[in-house]
Amino acid sequence: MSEPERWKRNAAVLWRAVLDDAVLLIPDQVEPLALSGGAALWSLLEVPQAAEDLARTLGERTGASRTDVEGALRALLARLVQLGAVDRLPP
Amino acid sequence: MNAPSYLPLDGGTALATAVAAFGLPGAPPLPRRHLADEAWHGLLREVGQQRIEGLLGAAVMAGALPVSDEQREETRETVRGRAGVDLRLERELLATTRALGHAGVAHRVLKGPAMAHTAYPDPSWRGFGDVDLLVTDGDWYRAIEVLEATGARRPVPELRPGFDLRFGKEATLLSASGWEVDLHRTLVVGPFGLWVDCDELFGRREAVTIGGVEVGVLAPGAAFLHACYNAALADDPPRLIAIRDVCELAVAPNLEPDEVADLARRWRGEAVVARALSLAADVLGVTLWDRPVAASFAGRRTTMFEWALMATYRGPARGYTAQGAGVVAVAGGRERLAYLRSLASPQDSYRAARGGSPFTHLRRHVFGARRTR
Repeated sequence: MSEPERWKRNAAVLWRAVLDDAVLLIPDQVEPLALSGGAALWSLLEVPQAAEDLARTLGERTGASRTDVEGALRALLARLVQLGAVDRLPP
Repeated sequence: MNAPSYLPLDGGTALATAVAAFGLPGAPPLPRRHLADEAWHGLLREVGQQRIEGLLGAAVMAGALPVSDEQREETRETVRGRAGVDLRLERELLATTRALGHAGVAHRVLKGPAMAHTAYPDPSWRGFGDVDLLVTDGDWYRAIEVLEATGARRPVPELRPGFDLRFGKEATLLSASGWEVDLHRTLVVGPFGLWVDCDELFGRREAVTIGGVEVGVLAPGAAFLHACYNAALADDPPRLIAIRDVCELAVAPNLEPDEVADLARRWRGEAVVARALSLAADVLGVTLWDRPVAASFAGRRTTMFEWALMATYRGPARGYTAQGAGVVAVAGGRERLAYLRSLASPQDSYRAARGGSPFTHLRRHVFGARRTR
């Protein structure tokens, strides 16, 4: 079985935890971006992680099912990659 | 020793001091129930003025300060606003250090961003309002040229040509994006700044990574002295976040008490350190006198001379009185004359930018104050 792709936050993003949110200042973006409830995800992205692992960890913390979390998470990760906040690491 | 003796504080300020001390050993308790609207909004105002929004957020997040749902959302907005400013300033900081680095100008990051990333458990706890960088005498004018080439401008020129390098503390520039960037030669205005050995500040390089970029900061001993100078001399009354800085560094395991004592003695700043340690107890209610770093300063008597010099850093004209008192730290009669001449008779471009000389402003403060009596 092949390794899954992994995700990691871009080290050049400036950020702060704001309660349970994360506020990001992404390179080439003028305004900061607030990830509502995203402090836990941003913290996990310090080291490369597969989406399944991220979803499992976040699901355990929130009590939601991994499948429910994973769908929303993949969409969010794709958007963060597009913005330059997160790097997608190939398998 | 030195039991806390709280300064008289109004409601918002008293609550803000408890927030400013959040998480420190021996910190005064926070309210056990959520605050009524008036007290809450007083707290929010004070927290903003003191730049301790991050500490408020941390206290709320930890459940140490109970809040209503509405207050929680107001906290979120408040902390988010502070984070937005801090992040933009960090971007400015990195652009500035990049420009200086490319030009081969040695520098160290001071104060807010350095403290946030080296001393605090989380950088969001330490807000700041500008970018502060230390540069060497050898690179002083080159550093200003480099930043001006990036679009920054210096609204107030030096008092007289060459003043900066002989006696100056800092040059304030406005970046092309409008943020304040303070270039420092030394740590504080006036005599205590002139007694600092500026070359020594560059002797040992520590580094911190911000946004994936490594930047140089002061070694822990010098950083602690700078925090003490900032808390005890920079503002009147002192900012709570500046006193918190002293506490964070005093309890850090990497601080070497002998090194701090030695620096303070050689820079003639022992009374300033003692005052900063007292402020932690008197204002935040956090005693640091039992910390190893405080041992050399505990029980120390401030001389009349030190007391008089520190008094020049207080009051509405402190910028001018402290600068005037700087003459005692200038060596040699000719240099003293040059110093006083600069204060009394600055170059025209300085007068035009400031509307007079430092002495003119001092006279206005003194005589203005007398007229209002």
